[in-house]
Amino acid sequence: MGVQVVSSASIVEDRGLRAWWSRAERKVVPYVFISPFYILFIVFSVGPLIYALYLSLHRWPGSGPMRHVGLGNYTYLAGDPVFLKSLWNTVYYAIGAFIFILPLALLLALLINSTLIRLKSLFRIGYFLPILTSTVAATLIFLMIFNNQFGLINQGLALLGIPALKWLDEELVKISVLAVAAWRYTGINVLYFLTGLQSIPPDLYEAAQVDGAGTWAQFRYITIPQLRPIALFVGVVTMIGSFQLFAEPLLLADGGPNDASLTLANYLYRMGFTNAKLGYGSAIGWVLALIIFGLSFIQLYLFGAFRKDD
Amino acid sequence: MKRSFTLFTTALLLLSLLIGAGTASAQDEVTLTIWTFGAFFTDLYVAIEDDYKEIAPHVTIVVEEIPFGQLYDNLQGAFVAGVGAPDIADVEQGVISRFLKGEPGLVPLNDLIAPYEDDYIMAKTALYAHQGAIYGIDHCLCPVVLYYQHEIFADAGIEMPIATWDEFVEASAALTEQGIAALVLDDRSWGDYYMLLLQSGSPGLFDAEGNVIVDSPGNIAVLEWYLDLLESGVAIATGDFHATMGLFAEGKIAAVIGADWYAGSLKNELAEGAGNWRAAPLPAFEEGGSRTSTHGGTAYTITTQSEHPEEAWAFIEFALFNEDNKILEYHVNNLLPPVLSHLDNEALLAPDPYFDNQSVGELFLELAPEVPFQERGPWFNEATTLVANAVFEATQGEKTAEQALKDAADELRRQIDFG
Amino acid sequence: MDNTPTRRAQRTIAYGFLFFILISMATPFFWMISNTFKEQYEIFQLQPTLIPEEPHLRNYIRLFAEFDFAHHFLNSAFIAVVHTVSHLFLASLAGFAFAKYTFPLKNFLFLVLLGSMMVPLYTIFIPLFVLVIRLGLVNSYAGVIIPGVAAAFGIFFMKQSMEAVPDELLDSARIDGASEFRIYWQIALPLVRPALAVLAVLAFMNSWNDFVWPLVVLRSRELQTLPVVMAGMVGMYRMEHGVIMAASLLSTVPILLLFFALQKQFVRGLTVGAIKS
Repeated sequence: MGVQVVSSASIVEDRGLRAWWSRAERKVVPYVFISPFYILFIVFSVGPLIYALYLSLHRWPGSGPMRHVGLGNYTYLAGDPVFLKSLWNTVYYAIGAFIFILPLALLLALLINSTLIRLKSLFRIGYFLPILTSTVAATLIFLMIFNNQFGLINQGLALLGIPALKWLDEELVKISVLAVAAWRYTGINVLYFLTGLQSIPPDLYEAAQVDGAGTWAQFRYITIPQLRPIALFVGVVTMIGSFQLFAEPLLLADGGPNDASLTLANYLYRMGFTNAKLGYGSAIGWVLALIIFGLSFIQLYLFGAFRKDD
Repeated sequence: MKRSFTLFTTALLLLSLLIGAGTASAQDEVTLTIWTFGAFFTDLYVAIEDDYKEIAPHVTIVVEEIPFGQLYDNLQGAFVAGVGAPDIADVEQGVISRFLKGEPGLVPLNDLIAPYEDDYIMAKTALYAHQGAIYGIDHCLCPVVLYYQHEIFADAGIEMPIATWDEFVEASAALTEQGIAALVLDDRSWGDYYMLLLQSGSPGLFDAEGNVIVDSPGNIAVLEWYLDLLESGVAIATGDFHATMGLFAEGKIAAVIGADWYAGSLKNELAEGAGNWRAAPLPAFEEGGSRTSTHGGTAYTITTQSEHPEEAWAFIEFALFNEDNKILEYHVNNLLPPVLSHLDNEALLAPDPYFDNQSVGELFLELAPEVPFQERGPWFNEATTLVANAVFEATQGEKTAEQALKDAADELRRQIDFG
Repeated sequence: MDNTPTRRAQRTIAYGFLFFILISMATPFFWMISNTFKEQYEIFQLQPTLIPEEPHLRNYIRLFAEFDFAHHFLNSAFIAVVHTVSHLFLASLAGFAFAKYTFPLKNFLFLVLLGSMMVPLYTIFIPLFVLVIRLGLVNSYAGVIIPGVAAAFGIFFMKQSMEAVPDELLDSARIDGASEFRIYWQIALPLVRPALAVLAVLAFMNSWNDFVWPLVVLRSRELQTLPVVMAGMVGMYRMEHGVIMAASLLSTVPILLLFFALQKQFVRGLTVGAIKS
């Protein structure tokens, strides 16, 4: 395809422009390609973010005079028992997502991707169904499953002669919330991992087989390194998702009992909206964003996302 | 004769139309926007829209239905923005307190409701009031009664209604023996406790000066009694609404305290229980004491951004004080009118087959003047969150009732100081 | 070779595990389907029934008769299709740039992009609300679609997927004189088809299910989307579970159709080898 036909008259002045463009194109083009995001970011997000930062230095119920408190909201946070409780709950969910949901999703993706298995489409769609189940239906079903006295799990345990467990009380409610989150979000992570697995060139495996590498060696030296970009994506997105977890604790236990399942995002909403503490809510939002940012930065660093040779 | 009458009325109608058209052109066209949640209010507005057009031809009603939750986030956004609020908003009692902080974006309605003060159940305005200003007028009386499955009580040889709670507790031993709970009460929320608190004569969680009374001796005593009901097995906590409905159906729970709208829930969720249920006044805390409480409600409010507050009130008046409209609303959403002169309407007093042909309306009419007064104000949401936790801590035995309420009260005072 | 006893045992275990997870994950969905054919009281039974006792279609009939389901369905479909197509294009373009070019400020810009995902919506909800009014976006589909059309999530996903595209392929196209856009369009995109397919499903689903943002922008009933109308069915004093579940089920149909339509794309379409030759 390379050579193009250009009329001879324009060829001279065109050559200067072309030569310039062929040098400049690779420098300019990436900025053009990424510009839509930044234009929309400047229009829709920068202003609100600065406004939220400004609000976080004040106490204000949304009307009447604003009271400037400097960093007062932030220092109050450090001694706010419910904030600390919801921070711990949120960390609990995030840890649970990383040690439970992600390995499960990876395992399922590997199995579906392996030559061992047929019916791949069935499993892909089946694992995706939870996220399509309506919240009302899911709530109804999970309350029936987890109810402290009459739930299906406890009915099952009773058949085995095991006394009922209080799935929605303080000790176990976080595990129940995590189970609902696993049910809902495992499938989507299976899809992510599958796209990563699909992008690994098959010739790599073929070459390894020729060299006599076993299944484990192939997994260790081909699959894992090749999966790195998608694993980083899944890691960061899971971090963000679990720190912003909002619906599941409300659906299952209304954030309770006694705030035992409340997340930071729930608490942010309670303060900023239900209680109309706009400044305090903004402070929680900024702290939450900074925590996620810090943890994501660490992940990016560990995955070598900033390395020049990448 | 008949013909001339028809002619006469036609002429009258034409005349009135002409006059109506004349006045309409004289007045500016007004559009009133109403924000509401849920079909059960939208259906009412849609149903009365045309009638209102005849009364006020220059007014156009635009109903914007926004799901519960988002409605109030958007309203808050509009108040902060200073633009974008509707003329009228339906504000549910559980969310009003956030709009009472700072300089409320709602119009005080004291002067407008004043002419109705003998007919309207003024106790219902207390839910939406702060420092003497009334910001909302409730759609609903929401009186609380005891709904009970009459055969369960009859089989156990218990005669209903029962006058006092002490007698109720004593009688329910016959049910407890059979593994039936007389009552269902929530162990992780504030609603049931609060209903009983109001019935006991407490103004709720605040006094008239806005002081926190969460840990007052009276409030502690009611919670201790509440715990006794649960511990003795007279009452059971089920964990959620679905389990409660299932246990009603299985006859494992005999009765429940609930407002007028709870009857709607029963009819909807337990349609096959028709005829099993009856309603009675709440047993009183002492002989001759109050026999009802109130639970829930949604108020008409007018925003300060409205350019037509007079027209907005005129429409609310039409929806709220026109008896036909209130009866229509009752059929749409089961909410009883908070207006005394409407409560003796035949439609409300008719025997109700779901309730074994009892006239439940008669009971409500009798109890309406007893609906208790309460104090709320801008910190009510903070208070209920903490009280819900206190109820849970106490029912779990983590703290005594007194300790749980004292801790909740201290934390509440701290949050109020914080501002 | 395929039928050695170990291999057969492995296969049995693998299938057993996959089916166990499949059943536990899919059951609530089928329960939802079953509930759409039930009366309210049957939905509430403590011992739930998976097969309805007396199945009927009343919930579906009410849905169309009372809630104008079809109208809001089409509103949602329009928004979701426009969003998905434009988002796929913009996200893959930006993802390509981040994955395959080095340019000054790249790391900083990328962190800004990621950072935009980390701020909870409710932190900036109120200023956004003000902005929508000031920009005159109320009651416009543009106001629903434009703010999220180049969302960071999709860009990040496409960037990570584009990493797998071999640089040599792009360089050899450059030697042939192809423009950078052409390299993106004709070489990189076909290689990441599985990722595009996944993003298409996710973008469509997110747009289809979103209702917080559409509610800020769309006030008039005629314009409103399906989730908004469905949320309105969840009453405070009364809940029509059967109707809500019927609505939920029907609203998943477009996503499922898209999923099936893209089924083949989830699997590697073109191989690197095919492009090389």
